[in-house]
Amino acid sequence: MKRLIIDSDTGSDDAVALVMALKYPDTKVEAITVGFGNVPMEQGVQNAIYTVELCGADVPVYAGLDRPLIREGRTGQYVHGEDGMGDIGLPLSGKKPAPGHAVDVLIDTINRYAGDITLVTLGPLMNVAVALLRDPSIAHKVNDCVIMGGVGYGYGNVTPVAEYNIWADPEAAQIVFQSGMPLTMVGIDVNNKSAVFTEADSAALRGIGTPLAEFCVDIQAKLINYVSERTGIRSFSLPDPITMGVALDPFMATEVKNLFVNVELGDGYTRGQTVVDHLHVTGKAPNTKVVLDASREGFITMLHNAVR
Amino acid sequence: MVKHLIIDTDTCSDEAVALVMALRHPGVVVEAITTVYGGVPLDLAVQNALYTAELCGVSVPVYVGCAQPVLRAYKPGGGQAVHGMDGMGDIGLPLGGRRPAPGHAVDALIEAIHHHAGEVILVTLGPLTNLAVALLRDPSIAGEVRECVVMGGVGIGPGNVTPVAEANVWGDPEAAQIVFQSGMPLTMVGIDVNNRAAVFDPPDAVALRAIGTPLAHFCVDIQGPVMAFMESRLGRRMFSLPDPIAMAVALNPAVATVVKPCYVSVDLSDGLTRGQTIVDHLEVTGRPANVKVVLDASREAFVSMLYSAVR
Repeated sequence: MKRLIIDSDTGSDDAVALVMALKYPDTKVEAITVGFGNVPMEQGVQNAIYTVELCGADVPVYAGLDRPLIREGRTGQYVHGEDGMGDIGLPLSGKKPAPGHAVDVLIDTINRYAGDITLVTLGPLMNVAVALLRDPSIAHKVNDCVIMGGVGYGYGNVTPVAEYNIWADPEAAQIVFQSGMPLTMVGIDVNNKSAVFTEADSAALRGIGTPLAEFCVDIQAKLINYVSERTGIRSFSLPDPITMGVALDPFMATEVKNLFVNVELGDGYTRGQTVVDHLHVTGKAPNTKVVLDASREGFITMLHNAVR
Repeated sequence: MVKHLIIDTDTCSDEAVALVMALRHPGVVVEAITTVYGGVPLDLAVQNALYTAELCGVSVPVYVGCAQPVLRAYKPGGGQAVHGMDGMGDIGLPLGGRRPAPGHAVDALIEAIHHHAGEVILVTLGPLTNLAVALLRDPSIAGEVRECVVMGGVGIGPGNVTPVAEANVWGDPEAAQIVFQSGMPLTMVGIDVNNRAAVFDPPDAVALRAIGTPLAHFCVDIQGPVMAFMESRLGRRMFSLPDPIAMAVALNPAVATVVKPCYVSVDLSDGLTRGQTIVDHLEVTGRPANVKVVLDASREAFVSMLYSAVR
C-alpha cells in the first residue's frame, strides 16, 4: 500500500488530482494539508473537504499557512474563479478542518511513516518549507516528494519564465529544493504536452456520466473561459492531475532527467523561475528528478478510472 | 510586577554577559532561553547558555533551536574569529555535557508567548531564525508579545560585517525581514548604539573585573579574543557589549535615550547591501513605522546595571 500526503492550494485542477488519489487502488491518503495559492487558504480548505466528501473518503484536511513566507501573495482566482472551483454554485463553506496545523501534521506524519510516505505538492510550497525549517530531518524520511511546479524546459505561465506555484512563494520553493529531500518535479511544460483537454476530450470525460466525471469537468468553467480569452481556444489543462498521475504511478513519467534546480529569488521577470541546469554548467550535484514528458494515454486512463 | 522574559541567543561572550544581566535582574523571570547558530554553531550556543545560567545559579530551561538560516547555508568561523573557538574566549571553561530542555526552541517560543500572552518581553541576541519560523508557524504570537527587543541591524551609520550590514541581521536576512514585517512590536538596538555606549577600553575592563566576584571575572575574562580581534582590526585594544546594552534597554526602557519610530526593512539582494537594515529616517517610502529604532542609550545607566548584576 502506498501512503500519500497531499499539500494543496485546492482549486479546480487540484480537486481533480484529489479525486485521482482518493479513488486510486491500494493507496492511502494520510492527510491533506492546505496552503495559500489558487485561492485564499481558508477557501482551499473548504474545497478540499468538499472534494473528499464527494469521493466518499475519510481523510483529514488541515489548515496551513495563509500567506507566502516573505512577500505578499497573489491568488489565482482570476483563473479558477472566486471560489476556485469554477463559481458553479457548489456549497463550499462552513466545513471544519481537522484540528492541528498543517506544518505539525506534515512533520508528525512523515516521522510516523519514515521511509514509507510519498509527499505530493500541488501548490506553493510554504507548508513544506516551514516544516523543513522546523524539522530538517523530514527531508530524508519521505520516499519522494512529487512537486507540481516550475518549468523543466520552456516557458512559464505567470511570467515569461516562471510557473505560478513556484512564483507565488519562491523562497519557500528554494528551501524545499535545497533541503536534500528526494524531489520529482513535474513542470507546467509537462502539463502543456500531456494534459491539455480540448472540447472533445472534456466531452469524453464528462460522458462517463458519474457525478465525479461531471464534477471534474464542470468546475473547470472559469478556467476554460480564461484560456479561451487568452488563446482563442476553448480548452483547459490539468497540471495537478498529471503530477498526481506521476506520483501514483512513476511509470507515467516517460522522460526524466536528474538535474540541479535552483529558484531565482531576485526581482523582475525571472523571480520564481526554476533554473534547471540541463548542461551541468554549475557543477552542482543534481537535486531533482525533472520530468520532461509523461504518457497522455496513461494519464487519461487513470483519470477515467478514477471517476468511473 | 514580575517581568517575563524570553531570550533567544547564539550564545557567545557578549550574549553571556547579557544573560548574566537578565538572570540577575530583580523582578525578572527568564521563562526560557532559546538558542540558535550564529557567532558559534548551535551546539556550542546551547552549551554556553547552559554554563552561564548555571554560573548564575539560576534554573531556566534552555531549548535547542535552528541550526541553519532560513535560506542560505550557515558558514561557521566568522564569529569564532572574534569570540574564540568556543565562543567564550577560549579560557578553558568546561563548556560541554550539559543537557538542554526537551522540545524545540520554535515550539517553546510559541508556547511561552501564548502562556504569558500580553506580558512577555522577548529579547533576541542572534540571527532571527527561531523567531521567524515561530511567526510563520503561528503568526498570532506577533500580537501577544509586549515588546521584542532586537539586538541587530544599524540605526544610523556603518555595519560591522559588511560596510553597511550588522552580523545578526546579515546572518539571516530573510528571517529578519519576516520578523520586521510581522507586526510584532519591535525595538531595535543596532550596532551603532553599541559603538556609542557600550565600548570597554582597558580601564573600563579593569574597573569591571575589580568588582572581584566570579561573575565580574567571568564577564571580562571571556572577552579576551574580542580585544585581540579589535586591536588587530582597529588598532585599539577594546571590546564592546552589543547584546548587554540591548538587554539593558529590554530590562529598563529608560536606558534608551533617543528612540525614533521608523519603517525598517531588510535588504535581501546579493552583494554588500545584503542584510542591511534600511531605516526610513526621512519617511521617503511613505510606509508606517514598524520599529522603534534606538539611536542612543545611557552608558551610565547601562554600566551601573551591569555592575549590579555581577556584584
